[in-house]
Amino acid sequence: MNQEPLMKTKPTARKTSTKLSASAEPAAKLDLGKIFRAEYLAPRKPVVLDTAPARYLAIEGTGAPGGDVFQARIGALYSIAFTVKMTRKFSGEQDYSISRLEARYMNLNSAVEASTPRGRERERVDFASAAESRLNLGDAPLPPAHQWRWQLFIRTPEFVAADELVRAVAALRKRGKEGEAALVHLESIAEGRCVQMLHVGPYDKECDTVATMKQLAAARGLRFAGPHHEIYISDPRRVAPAKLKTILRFPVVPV
Amino acid sequence: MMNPGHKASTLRFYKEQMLRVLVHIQEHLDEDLVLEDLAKRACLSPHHFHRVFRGMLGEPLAAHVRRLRLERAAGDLRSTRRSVIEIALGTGYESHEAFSRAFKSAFGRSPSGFRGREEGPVQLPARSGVHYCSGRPPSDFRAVTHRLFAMKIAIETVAPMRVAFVRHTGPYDQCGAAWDRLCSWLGKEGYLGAGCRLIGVSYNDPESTPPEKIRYDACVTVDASFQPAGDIGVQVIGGGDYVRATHFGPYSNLKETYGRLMGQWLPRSGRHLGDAPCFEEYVNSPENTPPAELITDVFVPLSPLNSPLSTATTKAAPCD
Repeated sequence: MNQEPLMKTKPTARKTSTKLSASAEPAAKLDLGKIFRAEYLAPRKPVVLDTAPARYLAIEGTGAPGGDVFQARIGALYSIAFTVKMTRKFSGEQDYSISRLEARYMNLNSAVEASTPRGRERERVDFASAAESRLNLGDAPLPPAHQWRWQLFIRTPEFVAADELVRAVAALRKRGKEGEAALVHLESIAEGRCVQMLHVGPYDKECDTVATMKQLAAARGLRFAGPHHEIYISDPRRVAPAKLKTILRFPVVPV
Repeated sequence: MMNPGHKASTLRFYKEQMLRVLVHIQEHLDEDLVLEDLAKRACLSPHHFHRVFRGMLGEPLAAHVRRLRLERAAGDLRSTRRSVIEIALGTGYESHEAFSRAFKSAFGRSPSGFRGREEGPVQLPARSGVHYCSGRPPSDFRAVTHRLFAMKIAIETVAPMRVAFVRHTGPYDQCGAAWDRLCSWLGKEGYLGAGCRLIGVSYNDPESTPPEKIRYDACVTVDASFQPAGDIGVQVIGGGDYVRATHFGPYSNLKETYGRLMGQWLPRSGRHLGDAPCFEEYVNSPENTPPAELITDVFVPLSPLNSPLSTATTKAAPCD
């Protein structure tokens, strides 16, 4: 989950007044991760928690996680996230922290797939690659990694408006840095009640963690009702697979 | 590749440079020991010297000097009749109280209590094995040994990088304002696309430089079309051989990584320091990364192979 461009603002950083900044006193920096701390628990044992509907900068794609398409879209997402944030900051508007990168994998969890059976396509699934994939619920084979459909997203304050994205794309285009930034859009996601747990280790060993989460759901009379959701804590480019920390989340509903 | 003999001679070179400094410190404990002067004695630039010193000796320069002065004071308490206040002033403390406090925290006993008992060492623990010894300056020391297993280290040739930058002068941990200024300006102009690299150039070692004098450049890579604007300057960094180590964890621990790299790796590497400043590349962002998960690449400049300095061998080259 390449986090680039990787913008740095030291923790001591506070709004600096600039020549063009608005006269109003800057409010304290908004940190959604802190405000909604209860939604970003990373427990070693699964928990059931409630999440509020939230707004995100989002981009979609198909392909192996960590592959070229995936990395390019992460780059596009961060380009917009930082250009929007820094443009606001420059003009003295409410400052906020860029939240963590998250992803949803839309076609891994058979329980939420469209009910139409995939017939022959399902039979052609490569079981070797399924074994190394991150989610195996035991109730359906997984598609090969290059067919995975995903959505990458970063939580964003409600005040960020669509026209700011348009202006950010234009600014990036002016510098030849547009890439796929025009694919980034605002999206509201409401997952409601979820099961959540910290996974430590390689992405392809998430199945045990998911099984533990599923057991808790069953014990509480709940079942998974939404796509596999990951919130990234570690940087997989540099952190050893065995030490990667990832929050896993599944929306649930009563059985 | 370096041959082992060459590496041994590099270690000897750095040890001899440090030893000159250690001898000078022991012989001039009553004087102000100025970093720039000591660095000159070691034939190193001031911004590199302290990191090498700390890394090889296992303690910062100021702590080393303080420890030696306290050891000398302990010896004087036992072996002379000089008053405590006299010894305190000779140790560089301005008051009896300050001296007593420092002495007690080091030796576990007040100066007068220490004087009254004959037992207990007059030396304080030191990994380097360097202690105050009247009239006998050190002839050797234990260079802190490799504990580099946790670090990934590689020598690489860094291509010149054009960067937009904002200079920060002041405490290292307050460089956030320079980053805010740089990134908000570059951001609204559309320069913060994928592939930007974020680099901090530290011209001084924060551990040995008064905070108000620390110079630091917040830098973001830009292409040739970028033109300087007001306080946003342009410079080229890199261009040459560097040793790179990856630092994991909070920025406040970066000094440990610099120390290991420059004090432990470097003397055993067969290479010599280059003149360029060190720089840091921030691989992930403190905006959305917990401190323990932060990743920083530390780059230390090396002089080119086959340059006069890198062939300096057994004898420490004379300064000046």
